[in-house]
Amino acid sequence: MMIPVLIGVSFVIFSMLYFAPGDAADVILGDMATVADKQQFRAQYGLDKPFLVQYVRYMEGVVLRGDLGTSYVTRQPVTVEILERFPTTLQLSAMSVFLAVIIGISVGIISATRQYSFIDNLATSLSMVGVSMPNFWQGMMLIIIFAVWLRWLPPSGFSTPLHWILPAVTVGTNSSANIMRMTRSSMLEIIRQDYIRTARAKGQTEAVVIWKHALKNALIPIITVVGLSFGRLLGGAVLTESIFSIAGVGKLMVDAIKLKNFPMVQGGVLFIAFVMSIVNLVVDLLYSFADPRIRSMYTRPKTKKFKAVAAGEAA
Amino acid sequence: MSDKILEIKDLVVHYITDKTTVKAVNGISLSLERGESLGLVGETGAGKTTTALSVMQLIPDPPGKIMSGEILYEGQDLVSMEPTQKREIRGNHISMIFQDPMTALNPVLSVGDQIAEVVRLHQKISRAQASIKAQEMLELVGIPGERYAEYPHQFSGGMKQRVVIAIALACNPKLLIADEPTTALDVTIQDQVLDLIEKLMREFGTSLLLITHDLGVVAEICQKAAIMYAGEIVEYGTLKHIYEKTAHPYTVGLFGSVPNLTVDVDRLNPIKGLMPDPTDLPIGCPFAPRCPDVMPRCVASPVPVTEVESGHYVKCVKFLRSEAER
Amino acid sequence: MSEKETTAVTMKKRGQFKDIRRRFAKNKGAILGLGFIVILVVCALIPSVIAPYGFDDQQLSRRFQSPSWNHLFGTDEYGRDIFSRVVYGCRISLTLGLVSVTISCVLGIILGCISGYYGKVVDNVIMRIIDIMLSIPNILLAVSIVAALGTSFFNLMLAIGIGAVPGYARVVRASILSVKEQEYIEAARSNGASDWRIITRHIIPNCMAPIIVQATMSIASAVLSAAGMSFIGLGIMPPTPEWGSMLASGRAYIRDYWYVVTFPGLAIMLTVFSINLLGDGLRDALDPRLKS
Repeated sequence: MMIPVLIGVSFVIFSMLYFAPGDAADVILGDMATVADKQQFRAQYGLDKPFLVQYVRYMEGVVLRGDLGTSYVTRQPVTVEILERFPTTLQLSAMSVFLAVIIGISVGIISATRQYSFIDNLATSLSMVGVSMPNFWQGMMLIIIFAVWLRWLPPSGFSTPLHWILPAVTVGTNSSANIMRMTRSSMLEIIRQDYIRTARAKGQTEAVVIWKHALKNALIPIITVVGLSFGRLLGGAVLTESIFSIAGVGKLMVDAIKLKNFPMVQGGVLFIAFVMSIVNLVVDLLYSFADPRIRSMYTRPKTKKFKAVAAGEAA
Repeated sequence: MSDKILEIKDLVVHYITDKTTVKAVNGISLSLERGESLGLVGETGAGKTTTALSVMQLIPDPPGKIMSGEILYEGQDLVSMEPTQKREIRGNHISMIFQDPMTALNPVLSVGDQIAEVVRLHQKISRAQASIKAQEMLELVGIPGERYAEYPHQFSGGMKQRVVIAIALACNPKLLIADEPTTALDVTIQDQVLDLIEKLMREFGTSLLLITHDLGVVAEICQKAAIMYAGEIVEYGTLKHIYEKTAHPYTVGLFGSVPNLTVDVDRLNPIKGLMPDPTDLPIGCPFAPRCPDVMPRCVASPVPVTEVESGHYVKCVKFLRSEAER
Repeated sequence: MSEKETTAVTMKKRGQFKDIRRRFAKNKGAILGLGFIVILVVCALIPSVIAPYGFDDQQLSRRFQSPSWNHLFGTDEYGRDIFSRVVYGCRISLTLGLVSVTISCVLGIILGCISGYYGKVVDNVIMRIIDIMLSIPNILLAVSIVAALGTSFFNLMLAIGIGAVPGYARVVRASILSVKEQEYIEAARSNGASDWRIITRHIIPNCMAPIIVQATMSIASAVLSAAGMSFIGLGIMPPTPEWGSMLASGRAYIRDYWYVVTFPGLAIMLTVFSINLLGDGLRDALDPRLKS
């Protein structure tokens, strides 16, 4: 499943950049270079070979050696440059997801249990606002308010925990709004189910009914949204890193685009597609943990284990 | 007096939305002794489930509201209790089993855990001990105890209902309310489940409030019956009263519409017409438009209850004694 | 169809339309959104009437003036009135939104139709392609397309449009799959109706509602994407007053002159917000069952 998609992605990206106007040699070496210099550049990067040959050689490099090409600008391997910066982006994404999930799910639950109340309406409106804000603008506004006017937080960089707050909020807002809406609608549906009434008929407290009985069932669509959010998060990180001057993969890509550093752009997109496939895989795994109906398709029931426990207790 | 487990007095329950008010229950009274079984009979929409939910104090509010009346459990009014006290009673003293077993169990929890949950809620025992008790309950309802860790989707409808029964009886309640427990099941399974309920009632001495539309089931299991129509109890008494000395025209019609195995007929005998709109109930007797014995007094004003013989109550103009009531 | 039947169907459609209008009118948020969009459309159509200055009126002597009655939103680094530039920018953003959505709609519907109707191998192939497109974050996909085709207004709309195709294709495909097995399709086919006729007459009218909602929401995300692209430098080039590129050029000055980025960004946000409100209102009006 993952493999054909990744191959497809690589083919699409490769072709798109292959047919891009402008000669890489011209762009990188500039007007001062001689024809011979340019030819040498092209030979060095294998740009004079036919399309399919180039593609196959590139894919060979990727699959066998993890070699995503060489940056036109720094002459360093793309893979190295990306991997250097990936931990930063990963950290930013992880924190944003964490923030988004915590805020999104809690507000979603409160909204669902107090439907049509003031909090619900406020949360719904705010979430709509959050989804409508371009996140790079949000980043800039946060910088203006918190770094320039109030001077509470630093405007750029990623070194200390204080540095992490604004970027994580910027990237996470969008996702937290989506998660909140999905949690709310999912919970609203679950709360109306018969088994919730059964739980109450047992004399269970409302808190446990909501957090244990309802939420566990509502998780499945919520996990889907969280997974999807990760994709948008990576996209959002691209712009946010530029705003906050964070040395991550996103900023790398933006700079590469501006400089027409095609191998970097190509390698970066492929890399991100790869990461997203892994995220999707993890999401699928999470499903089977959350929903026993899916889980039982893969495992056998734990009857034997229980028998032993019961026997032990009775003895 | 002290042997009455449950007493409902003039209960009125409405569902109020900003557009309309649904008058689901309009002044019903009934009582249940210790160890007794009462069948609450009526068509869909008569108000039976609302009555049951009121006893459990599980009426969704909004939009439902208990407007007036008392529900006494062992002499204490359930309506005015504190929420903590109500939770203490639910699942422990009074349990309920619902109509649709397919949706009554939480799909993401094992059946054993769902039974153990109600035990741990009301008894101070350890998790392991609760699991053992849950296993015992499973065996009691005819499910192998090893299936403790399995999930609801791995059971058939009939077995799911047994699990529901296990949950309801795990804490040995004094009163069990069963809301059409077999309607959603296959006919062959219906019998098994009913037998199970009856057996457990006798073993534990539990009182039963059985809600059903099936007069045959009531005859098998219950000692008393109450016939509900449009939110009111129109006839109430022992089985002998209802089945042999049938009084109210609606009850007569119900019996008349049951197919007769011995007589050859071309057509069945349904009761003409439909139940009135609960948002727009008439002032007089709600059954008047469909009643073959209707008279002018029926629609003029509300009909009071008459005790035609000891313990047999009817809400019908035909049985009014004093001229003052006419 | 006989005269009577045609009239009956028309009457039913009119009744439905009235219902939809009534439900929409009850939603205050949607009306608010609609109102704001009307303002935007007016700004887009006759900017010269509303804006007090031209979008390119440079006067270096009045650089970086704070918001005042003369310059509602202040002036930028070239002394241009920001308010006027924002007003002129409406036309660009709205055009971007509408054209890219049209592109995605048409491509998406065609793909979805083929995929859903013909099924099997074709469906599989198309769905894989869509998976591929969805594996790449939208921005990067658009970036790659623009990098390949070159930076121009049309290419930008094409890039954003292509990115939104999966959404439509899926919606249309789902509708087709749900309708395909219904009996009235079999009836039509047994009457000799061709595939094309079945698709256009029976299937598409049924998925109109979700497509309309999807389209409204995509205009919003198209505006956001365009702004993002311009911000990177791949979208509209200065001095054209596209809101995203205004943010890009104003970024250097946020420390000292906050208004240069605040107002264009606010314009983006309010536009997207109104479109979202409108889309939500349409969704509720067209199918009240979708409301939670």
